[in-house]
Amino acid sequence: MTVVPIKLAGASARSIEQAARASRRVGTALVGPAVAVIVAVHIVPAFIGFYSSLRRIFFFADEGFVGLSNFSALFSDPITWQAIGRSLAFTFGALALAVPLALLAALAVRELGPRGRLLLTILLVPWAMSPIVVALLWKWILLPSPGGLFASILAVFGIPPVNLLSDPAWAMPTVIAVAVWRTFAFAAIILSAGLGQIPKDLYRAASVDGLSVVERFTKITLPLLAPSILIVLSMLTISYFNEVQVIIGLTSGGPIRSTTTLGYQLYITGFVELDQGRGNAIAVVMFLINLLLIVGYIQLLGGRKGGEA
Amino acid sequence: MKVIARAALLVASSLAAIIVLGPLLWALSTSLKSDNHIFAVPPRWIPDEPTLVHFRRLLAEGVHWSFLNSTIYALGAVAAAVLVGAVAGYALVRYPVFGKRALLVLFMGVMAIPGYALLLPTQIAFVKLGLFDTRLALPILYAAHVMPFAVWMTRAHFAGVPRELEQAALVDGYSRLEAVWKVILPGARPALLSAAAFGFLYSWNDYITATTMLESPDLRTLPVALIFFQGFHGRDWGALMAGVVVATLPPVVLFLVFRRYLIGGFAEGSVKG
Amino acid sequence: MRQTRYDAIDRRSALQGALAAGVALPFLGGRAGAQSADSIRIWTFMSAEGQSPREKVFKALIDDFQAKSKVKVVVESQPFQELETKFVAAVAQKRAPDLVWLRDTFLSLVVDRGGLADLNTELSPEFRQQALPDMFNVFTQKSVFDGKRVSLPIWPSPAQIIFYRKDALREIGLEAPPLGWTAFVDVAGKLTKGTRIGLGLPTSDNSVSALVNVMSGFGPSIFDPATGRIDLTGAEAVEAAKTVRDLVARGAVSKTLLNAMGDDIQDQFAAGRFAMAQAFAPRFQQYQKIAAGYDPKELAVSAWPSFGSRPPAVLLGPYWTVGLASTSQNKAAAVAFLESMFSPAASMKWAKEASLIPDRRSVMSDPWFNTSDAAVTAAFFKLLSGDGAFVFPQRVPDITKLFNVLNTSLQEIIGTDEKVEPILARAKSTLGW
Repeated sequence: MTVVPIKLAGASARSIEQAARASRRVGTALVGPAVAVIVAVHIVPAFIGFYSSLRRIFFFADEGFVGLSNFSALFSDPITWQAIGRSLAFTFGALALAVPLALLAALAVRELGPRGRLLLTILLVPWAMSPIVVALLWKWILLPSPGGLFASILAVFGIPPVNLLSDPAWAMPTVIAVAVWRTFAFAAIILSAGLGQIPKDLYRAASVDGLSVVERFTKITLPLLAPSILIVLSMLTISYFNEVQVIIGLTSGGPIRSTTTLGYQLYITGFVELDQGRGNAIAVVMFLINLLLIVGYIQLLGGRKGGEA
Repeated sequence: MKVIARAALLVASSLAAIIVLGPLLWALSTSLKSDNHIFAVPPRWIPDEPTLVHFRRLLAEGVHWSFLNSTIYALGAVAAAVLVGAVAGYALVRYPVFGKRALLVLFMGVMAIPGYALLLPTQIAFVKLGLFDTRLALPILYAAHVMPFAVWMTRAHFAGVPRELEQAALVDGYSRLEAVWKVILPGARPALLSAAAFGFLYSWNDYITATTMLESPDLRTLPVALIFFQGFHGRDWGALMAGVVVATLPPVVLFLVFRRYLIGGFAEGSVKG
Repeated sequence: MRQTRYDAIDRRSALQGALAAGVALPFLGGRAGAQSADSIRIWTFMSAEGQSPREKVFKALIDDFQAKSKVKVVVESQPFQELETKFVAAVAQKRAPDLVWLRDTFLSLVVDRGGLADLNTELSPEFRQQALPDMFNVFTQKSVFDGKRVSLPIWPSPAQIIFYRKDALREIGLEAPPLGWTAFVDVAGKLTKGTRIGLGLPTSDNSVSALVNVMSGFGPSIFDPATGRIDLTGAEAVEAAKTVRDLVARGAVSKTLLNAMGDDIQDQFAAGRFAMAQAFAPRFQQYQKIAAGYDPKELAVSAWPSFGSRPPAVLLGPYWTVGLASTSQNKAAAVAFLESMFSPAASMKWAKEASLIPDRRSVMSDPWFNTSDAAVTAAFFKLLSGDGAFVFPQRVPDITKLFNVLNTSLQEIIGTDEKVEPILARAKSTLGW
């Protein structure tokens, strides 16, 4: 949708062309700084990352070009595949918890009217917090000591203190729950806005037709909410796939690597073990997976809207 | 029947509110307890003898400087991101731009790629550039991370403003800049505020970028200082929770003040696409 | 594109040009750590304003030094596990501090990347003649690489050691834990009672490995003298792993503490959860201070048990050493401050006020060490001077990974029923040893 500048009425074809070129120059110049920043902080590091992934760099000492051996070592290591599996478990576990919760919250917000706005505001408070601070807070709450908050709630039901973060079976669900605690309400904003777009008449007509509450939900709400759900899914998938701060703060990837996702593996390999060549190889893999997810979602969303402007 | 449903809804909502706010109140409560009350069994919500000793310890450790750093970095990043982003957003709507479609995809795509995957090479680049561990490292990175969002937000807004409004101003003898300043910008306030508020939350809450790009203690941000706090001498839960309270107040207050724009911005963005 | 060598920072590199186009170069000012000629910068994990006993002594020594020399001492505290990394990066960027705290296990990595001055040429003759021979040889020798003295060890300490509660031991008629593993496992099982667990082991820490500490009961031979590696599938490693299994079988090590950092163990020890725990020796006072579940006077220390008839094991390290940056612009002042931390008076201060073992052995003749206040320090001193004391080799390969990998194995040994041999074999292959 290109726009011809305004002061053109009555000009000759040639001067229109000149003006259009000038206008294009101005436009490009105005977008320029933003593009420059993107290139410098996103694109260039992506190339440096790829370049470094082809070298052996350990503890800042570059020992030279090693071809794809960082990648072959990475993919022949069962720990990598395990980490990819954990990433999927974390991402889809969190989605499976967050999206239904967000949908429930959005329905409640709509149902409650003015009080719904208050509810949404309250639910969003954790979203305003830092992930690492959230992790710290929950670590304290979950402390398996009789004085811990969670332990004392369990004690009311006669259950002795349990150490969720230390149990290979429970650590991942717990980390997921904390990540969802912080983020699910954000999805509720979008779903609630989507609900607002559904014409009220439809529901009235449906209840005239004698549809039950469940039928109204499955036959009207869900299909018409699909676009919003798709947006929510795409945003959350990428955000959960890259979540690492909550894991750093809560479990350090343990116990027995049960919460070591690919993102956490990158953190450990690159920044703690300082195997920077291999760390960059993991970063490249993560970058490609992200790119894949984004392209996929742009396709899905773009298809829905019939293409971008 | 309807009454019961309504009551159930209210109960469920209240329960949700408790699960969300309870942990924060617990942090506040802990931060006000003296060391020998922190592990008391059963736990108490209201401290017996409230004390500010943990907050004083934060001050003694210079955490207020980290607070100041966090604020400065976030504000700097937001100012830069919103300025550059809004200009680009405007240009993308009102001007023909070379490779516009590709640029739009670039902005969209970059918004989705988290800075985290690029952190390691960014660190290497910043070391080479001499930007590593300087006061500029974080504002630059945060601004760059937030900017695509500002572009997206403002572009969506400008696209919704009728061109006639601007033309009318030009007819009235305003220059283009004046037209933008006097007519377009005031209307764009919600979009700008929502981008700014989101940018502040993002910058303030980051830990991973800050901990990998800075090392001097006097440059440290609040989350980094807080994690440093559980360092070598063992955990001091009272002081840590005092830190949680201090680190949480600004973003939550900001969120409450600007919630209309934040919620509105995302809601609108998702509906308009 | 240039290779990203840490030592090849060249402002004219093509890479930089590309980046500089985007990120405006005029911003290049504003770098932290600008330094005046009459000040020295120190990187350490301590804070100049900290309230722990060590930090208070540190502060007092700084105040003394500043008053005498008119040199300002700037302390820039860093997360303890990142000091070496950050120092190497800072040397490459030419903004390293003058003095830096480094762990003994990381010395070789830092030495290989340059940046540490040779203290043999920098230390004063008096210090070399009087102080060095008065320090613990096993420590000072480890800092000498190819004739270069790259750092001075500070606070010789047995690092990871067993803390125990005398009251708990009394219940089963003992004064102290047994010093052989067979008896120790038995006692640890008996100490497990109700909610109290016999032995607390950290299972998730970047610089601590309980498995290595258990293995240290076999003495220095656990490290291959040529490679610095541990034979992870050898008989000694298997025996150590099975010992941990025995502890678990008797309930003396909890399966519910699979992800415990040293801090978690400390928190829970304070609450009375353990009868004994692996702990970092210099934290003794800290443990006393936070004791809630027991009387702080009942806290005591012990060496690790050994296997067979070997002497009690004391693996020294990881411990702290202090190095001087070769880039220091103020070497004389920095060395003067360094030496001041090792004076007999300073050694006495570290010992008296922070319960640390004096760096200068001669001060142990001070009558104060016979008082009951000094009982713990005297006990530490005895452990250090014993036959079982040894250190990590100068070069342990893959030191940045070793502890993580071994802790995962330890978690598997404690938390699963898999045979120990495949668990250890996996650790070996992860390390590529």
